[in-house]
Amino acid sequence: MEILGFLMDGFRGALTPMNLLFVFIGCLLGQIVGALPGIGPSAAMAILMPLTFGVPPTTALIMLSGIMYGGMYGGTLTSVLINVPGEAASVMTAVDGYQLAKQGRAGAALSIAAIGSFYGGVASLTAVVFLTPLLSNFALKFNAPEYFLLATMGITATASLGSGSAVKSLMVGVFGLMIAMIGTDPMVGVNRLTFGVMELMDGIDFIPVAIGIFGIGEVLASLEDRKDFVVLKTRLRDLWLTAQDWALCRMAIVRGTVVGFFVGTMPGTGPTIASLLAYAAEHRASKHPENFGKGALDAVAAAETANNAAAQGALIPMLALGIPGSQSTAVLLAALLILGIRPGPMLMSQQPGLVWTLLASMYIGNIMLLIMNLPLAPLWASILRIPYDYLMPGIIAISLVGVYATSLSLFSVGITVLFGIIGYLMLKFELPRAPIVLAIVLAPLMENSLRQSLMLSSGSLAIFVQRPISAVLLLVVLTTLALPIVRHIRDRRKRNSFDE
Amino acid sequence: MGMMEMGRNPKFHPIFSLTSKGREGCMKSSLDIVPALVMIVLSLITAFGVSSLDYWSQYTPGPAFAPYWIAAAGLVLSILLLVQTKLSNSCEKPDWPGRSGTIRILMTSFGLVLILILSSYIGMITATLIFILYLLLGILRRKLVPSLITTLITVALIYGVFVGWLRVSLPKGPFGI
Repeated sequence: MEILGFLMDGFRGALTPMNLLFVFIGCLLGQIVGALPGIGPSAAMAILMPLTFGVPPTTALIMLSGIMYGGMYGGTLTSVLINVPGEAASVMTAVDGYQLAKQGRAGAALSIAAIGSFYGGVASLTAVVFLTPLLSNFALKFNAPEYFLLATMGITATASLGSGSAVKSLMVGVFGLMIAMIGTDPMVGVNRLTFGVMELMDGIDFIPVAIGIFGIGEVLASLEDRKDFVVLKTRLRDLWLTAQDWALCRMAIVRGTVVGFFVGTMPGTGPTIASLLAYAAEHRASKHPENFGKGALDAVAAAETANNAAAQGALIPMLALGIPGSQSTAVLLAALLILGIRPGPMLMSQQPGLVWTLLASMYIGNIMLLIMNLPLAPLWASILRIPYDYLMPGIIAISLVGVYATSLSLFSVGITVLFGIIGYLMLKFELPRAPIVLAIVLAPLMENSLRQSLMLSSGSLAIFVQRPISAVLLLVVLTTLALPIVRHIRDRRKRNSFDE
Repeated sequence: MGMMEMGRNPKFHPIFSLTSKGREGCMKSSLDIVPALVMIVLSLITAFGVSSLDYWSQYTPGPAFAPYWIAAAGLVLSILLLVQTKLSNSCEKPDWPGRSGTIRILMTSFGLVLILILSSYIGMITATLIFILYLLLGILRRKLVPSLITTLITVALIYGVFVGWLRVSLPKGPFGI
């Protein structure tokens, strides 16, 4: 009951005209960013972060989170209408969504995706509302050793649970930690890795790195191939679902919510993996698995429900522990730090107004997005006809001016350009970009907690196993490191038996 | 050729492919080797960069403590990636763009450096305006009128938000903006 009281207070805060306006702006930007191929929600959040400096922190976070979950709704449009995922989490939607569009059922695909996203988002958010305070209360028992291990887990879990090579993911995480080491040592005050460059004494900020790697890097990649997309048509009356469609999709939506929420709560996973797993789970559970890949409406429902459920589920580790669960929540966490708010278990007790207003705003945002995506879907489809070429220069310009606005230094703009090129090369060498962001955000917590722990124990590493919670966390960290090895051995065995 | 066929045919067995002529191609695979080599260099720079700092001072880890361990982790992971690449029969290489795509990317990167240099001399807003026109007309070869309209709208938006609303003092040029 206490939680409901807090949530009601949150609604009072979220329903102020200013906050409502920024929920709308955030959702609108998320919808547009999600719909446009070439730039994802994390990039947009990083690029637009400087714009929020003129508003109170709660309002800023409301807008940034609106971009985060709005992107999940918007990504469906491009997947269904032009067979190009607007953002990574909509990849599986493109598989069946575009087939449905070719069969003249684009409206049904968009409709079920919007409804599924809404259901998944609201259900997942409700779980966040009830579970976050419990986890947060438990985490109040944490001390330096636990924080060090939690931060380490944030990086190792990305490698272990993410798709692609675990070694590469960890390597990128280490690269992020190296960047975070540049600057003045927080405890002793001496310069580290600055190599005599004065501008590096304050360290390399998160914003230039994130904007460069995600924003500029993605824009450069989109310059490789310039295609004029053919946008399939959709009409308002096509959005109506038949009773048969409902019967087919209702359980897919429920399953997608469950898969999405649980995957989202695990650090290092995020909406893309959630939608992949939900698609695979639905393929197994469906009465018509033969339709998958040929235009299965339940496949679209499961994938779209899961990505939005995961986007909101990822808030649990971020709000309760201060550990981002995904790329987008890493940007959100960085925003908290930049706005002068200390994340972690104390956040809920020290800043209840901020947390509950943010959560309440997300309910409102999901309703806004449902309205934007159901009756207004044909309008969004017409936006896709604007050539991306006309938007690209604007994205770069806003990115660079935004970076200057946060630091008032052209050196930071130079860092952004450098990391833009690095981001592009990372895409080419198939290096995941999420671990770099997570590492930069988590590095100060990781290093300070490690040094505090070793001070407490007079240099003994036994402190990490003597405390029960830290022992469990250490086990989890070791498991996340061992998992890829086990997976590698299992795959090798499978391959060998397949060859024989 | 299907996967099953590849599995049964000794010529396509992973072990055979490592010892066959194809191995040379695999050893040239840059998808994993280049990042591993870059990481080795970065690890060495990190370790060298903190070599004059304390690793440990009394009961506290010093400023070089974390960088040393991070450099060590980077080295171990790079070597692991190199070994993994050598053992695997993958011949993957980065999917580089074609000639026109490469030119567009290089020219845009050049434009990004140019905006950085020009901002100090002609002001950030003017440099941004020139950059957008350069990108739309010079690199993307878009039509003149829509490009001009896009440029004006974008620059007005940037000016309105950053200078008008957020009161950011952007580098100014001889035109006062």
